Amino acid sequence: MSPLVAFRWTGAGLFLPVLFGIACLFAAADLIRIGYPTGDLANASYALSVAAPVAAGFTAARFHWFPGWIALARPARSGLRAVGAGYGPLVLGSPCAVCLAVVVTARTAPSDGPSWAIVGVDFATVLAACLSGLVLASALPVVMAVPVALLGWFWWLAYVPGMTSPLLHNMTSTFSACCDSSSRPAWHAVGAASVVTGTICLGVAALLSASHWSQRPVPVAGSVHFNRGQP
Amino acid sequence: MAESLVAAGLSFGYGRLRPHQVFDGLDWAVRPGAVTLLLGPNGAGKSTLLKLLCGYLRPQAGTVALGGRSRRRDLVRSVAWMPQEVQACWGLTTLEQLEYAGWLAGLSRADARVRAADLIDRVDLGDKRGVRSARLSGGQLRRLGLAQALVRVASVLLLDEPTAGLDPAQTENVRSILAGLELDGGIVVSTHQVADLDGQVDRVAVLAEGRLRFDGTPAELGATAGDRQATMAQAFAAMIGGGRH
Repeated sequence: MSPLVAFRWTGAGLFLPVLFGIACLFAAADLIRIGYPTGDLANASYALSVAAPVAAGFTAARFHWFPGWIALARPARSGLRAVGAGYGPLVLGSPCAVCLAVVVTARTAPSDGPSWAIVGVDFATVLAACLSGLVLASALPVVMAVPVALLGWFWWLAYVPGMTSPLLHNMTSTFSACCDSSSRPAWHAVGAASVVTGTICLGVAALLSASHWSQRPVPVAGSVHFNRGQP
Repeated sequence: MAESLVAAGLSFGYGRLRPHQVFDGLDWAVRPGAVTLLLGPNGAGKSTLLKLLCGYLRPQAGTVALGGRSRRRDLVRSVAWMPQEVQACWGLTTLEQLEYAGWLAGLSRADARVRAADLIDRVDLGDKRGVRSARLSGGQLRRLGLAQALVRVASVLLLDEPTAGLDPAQTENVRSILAGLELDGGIVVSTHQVADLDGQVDRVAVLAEGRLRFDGTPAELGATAGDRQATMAQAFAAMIGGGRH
């Protein structure tokens, strides 16, 4: 499957512009630019608390039927390649769209380590959200997977105490609003994003790389047919 | 030398709370190079057997081996299977689904494209190549499923009810496709439309209550009914007690 077909097939062609618009809308809310790139990018990253859950929910909605189909197709290729060829544009396109929205809304490009760290956290967070959508859609019925993805990520980004700060979650600051030029990306934000993304990426890779990935019961893709069919 | 697909000591059951054992120590070998008709009453386990032979299901005990290799990877690569329930790949056109299936089966993108373009005409879906596969009728979907099985470069082909829901012209088309196939490892066709394959099968296997009741030629099956001229359907009905088919 060509990337172009996958782009259309997964709905990425329609969804990514919408996600970009949503991210721009929420990034612009309450944004006061101060001319400090890292601070402006961090402030615009407020969009994540909405964009990441939406990306997770959409990915889950688009993936839910795929495990059943791929199990019948009995791929000779690894699950990682099978899913990557189909859903790569959506899973990688979503973080790109959100990061682009953050940069465009903040009207500044990342120029140094701290500002790149902020964009990196954003990218990793949305990537993890999309991958978790794939996992949830494999393990749960779609009517549960989509709400769990949406609410779970909103809770994680907006309400987990370790992630919240006056600036969302990703800067150290002594102010109640963003930011002074001495502010730096918060270690807990970078750490949490790295740990969450790394864990989810490793989990998805292990799941899809298993030789029987399309044959096993929950939570591996294709499991819905195992032990449920009729003789 | 042709490799033989062999099931040895196969056990399998569905369900956990109320298990239903389908097979318990089944032994069977697909005759290389032959077209074998797999018959059995409803619920005998024909579809389950095909699913086990192609590696879709994992046996609870016993092995399925092709040429002595029993890893699932080998079965997936070398055994093509058309399931009873062919599914559309949501959002893809008929041709794209076939190309994707070919790529998933291990072909390069270019090879998958060439084989898909050839097969879509052979199953008479050439005029539907640009149509979303989800919009195909049941009969058209079955033909797509047949093409999807054939797109795999395999030595054994397993077909589960390939002519169910097809009109007479398409049934004839499937017959001619089957007649033109040459697979080293053999072809197994499970169907209730026995007449659709009259004159085309070399072997017949009858499955009932999880056991292999018969494995031989159509003439030998007729002989079990006391009449070597009996049709396969008549002999099969007589074997399983009539009326249950």
